[in-house]
Amino acid sequence: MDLALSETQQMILETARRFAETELAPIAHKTDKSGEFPRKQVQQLADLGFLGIAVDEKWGGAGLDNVSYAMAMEEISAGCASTGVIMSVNNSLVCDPIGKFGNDFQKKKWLVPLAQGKVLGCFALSEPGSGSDAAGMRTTAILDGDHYVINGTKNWITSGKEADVCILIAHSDPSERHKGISAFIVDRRETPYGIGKIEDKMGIKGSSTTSLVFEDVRVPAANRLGNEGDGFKVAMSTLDGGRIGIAAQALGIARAAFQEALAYSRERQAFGKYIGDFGAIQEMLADMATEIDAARLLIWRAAVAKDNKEKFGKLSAMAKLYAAEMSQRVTNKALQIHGGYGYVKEYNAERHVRDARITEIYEGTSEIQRLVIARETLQEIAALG
Amino acid sequence: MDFSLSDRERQVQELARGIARTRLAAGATAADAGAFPLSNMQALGAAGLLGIKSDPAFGGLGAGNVAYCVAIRELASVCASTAVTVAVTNMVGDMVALYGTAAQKQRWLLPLCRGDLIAGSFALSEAGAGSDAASLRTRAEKVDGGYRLNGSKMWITSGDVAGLVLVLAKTDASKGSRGISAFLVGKGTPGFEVGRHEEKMGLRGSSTVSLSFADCFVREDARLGPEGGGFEVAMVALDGGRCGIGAQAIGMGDAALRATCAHMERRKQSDRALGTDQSKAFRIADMATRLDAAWLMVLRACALRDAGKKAARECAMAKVFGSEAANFVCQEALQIAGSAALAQDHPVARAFRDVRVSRIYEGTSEIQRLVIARSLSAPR
Repeated sequence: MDLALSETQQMILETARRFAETELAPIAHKTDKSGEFPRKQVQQLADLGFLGIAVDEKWGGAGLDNVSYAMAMEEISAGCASTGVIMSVNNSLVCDPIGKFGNDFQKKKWLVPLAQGKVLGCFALSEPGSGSDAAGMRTTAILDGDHYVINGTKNWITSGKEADVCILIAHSDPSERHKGISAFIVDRRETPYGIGKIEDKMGIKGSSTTSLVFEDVRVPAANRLGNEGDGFKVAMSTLDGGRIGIAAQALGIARAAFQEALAYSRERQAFGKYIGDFGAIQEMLADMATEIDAARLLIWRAAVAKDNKEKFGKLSAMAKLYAAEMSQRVTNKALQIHGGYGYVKEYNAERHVRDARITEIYEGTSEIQRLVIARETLQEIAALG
Repeated sequence: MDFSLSDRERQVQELARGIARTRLAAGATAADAGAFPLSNMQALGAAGLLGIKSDPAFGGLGAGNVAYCVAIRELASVCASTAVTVAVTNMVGDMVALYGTAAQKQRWLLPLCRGDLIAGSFALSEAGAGSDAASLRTRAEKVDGGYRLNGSKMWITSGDVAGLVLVLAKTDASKGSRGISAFLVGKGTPGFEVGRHEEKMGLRGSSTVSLSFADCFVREDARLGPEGGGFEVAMVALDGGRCGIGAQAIGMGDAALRATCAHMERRKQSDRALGTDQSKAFRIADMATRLDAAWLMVLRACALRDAGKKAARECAMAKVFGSEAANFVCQEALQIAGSAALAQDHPVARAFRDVRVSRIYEGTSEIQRLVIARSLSAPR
């Protein structure tokens, strides 16, 4: 049992925190209002190596561990949650599957520029009619000679507007469910596809969320990630890792909300004393601090298991479930502590509530996390006898 | 970063698990009916589990805080009444080890760890002083050759069976918390009487009594630590105790979760037919997640203490989060088990009754939140 940070981890933490404080926090409010993609800040993330943190140095990444990734995600998201999700998707949902399932040709061609942040990636699994039930997707990729012909629409795609490289999950054999699914790398510069509706969202407004439209898009067979029929496995194992990133995002949002509420409780006076000296406010702050710590430990545990190449699906599901729900409680308490100021856009409190909300939904809803956790828990306890 | 247990910690876990399964399990129902688990204490003493952190030279295991909490969790998952008796005994031993003279250690620590004293007891609370320890009223008046104790204590775990009671009393009424001293009082000391035996909701195998001291004379060498140092002894004991209560509560949560999983296995078919299987599965997920989070909080606090670092906030967090998570788990388990669990001797009913006090004793949840909130002003 040793929860101390290594020198490298400490350095990443400090770098990320400094960057978030100086470059992200000042633009978060404006980004939320305008809904503009934080282009300059994403470029700065690339320069810091934060777009491919856990990618091998050989493939253009920073070669760091997943604990460092989780710590950086927390800090970046505390500064600006929109920037956080852009970073999480590029790392977890794009670089990670290419690193794990890609061949050297694919790694050289796409992983290197993705990890270096020269191009941005997106991950296309959900559709208008299928989300949690991934096997119910309708997009097809039918082999025709040495190309796959892709048809269908993908929905809720983070960074869909800006991304040039798309990890696409589609049915290569529509007669099968899970077993008929394959994964592809689709390069929009070479094989253009359409960008459909750009969603107007409640929160994380600086990251784009779009639909992608594929109409007879012919993708070279060499772009298939893993074997034919491996797509479901690629998608699920990718989401296992993605959950660590989103959990850390939820944690970062909650921590920012908590710190602002703590500071506010020491400035604002009522009935002749600081509101932070009232028992009711103290209890709220104590619970917020405690829950934040619990979420961080669950996240770090999942990240360590991933680094150690142990099974971590249940652990990342627990981390995401707890962190996302914690983030709702903490951001709402932070808003409450601010009183009327919490409800107006002059302060950040209401933005944190809106930004936190999605973490319970994307990359596996809380309900899906519970299914994963319950199934594994029942199996584990039955095995103990 | 490493979340795994060391070999030594795993050994202690195996040791505790073995005794829990063979010995504690057999007597858990009787303990719940009110029988003090005397033979358990002797077996645990022989194994070194009454002095988990104490020096092996004094009959302990010489392990750390992580190992201690791992062991308490194992014991509590089988017989919570035994676990709390063990926890308090360990706490008293730890204080003797930390503040005692060589002679005090020789006289008290060795028999305490070996189980010869049956149990150790910690007498701080009074009718009018619980969370606010500084306001206690038991007095220790300096007299020739020692002190004369007068006053009474309440809610004292193992106060009737313990061969050794660590008593906190005021040596200087004018000095508030700085006027408190700690004393080691042996069972049977003249003037020391056991009073009312509380009928409790849970932990019924652990005895909870009031104690009274009427001109109870103890020698100078019964004082643990310096005069006026009693408040520190109490606070250090409780700080360490807090992680242990967290671990204990989690152990009771384990018992409830195990029973719930077994229930679901038995009821698979009918739950599916009724459509209640998913509602139950979701509750299992919440229970398992909260217990895991709570355990990580306990482990973090223990690891910091083992590394010699300050961890007052982390211990408070481990206690409040652990006890509340475990209460949540037992409550959900009771709901899932339904009317069957309303029978007194149902394992979930027992866990539900046993776990409730974890939010109260050794510092209520409210006190833990206060400790945490106050610590937030200090820079990290």
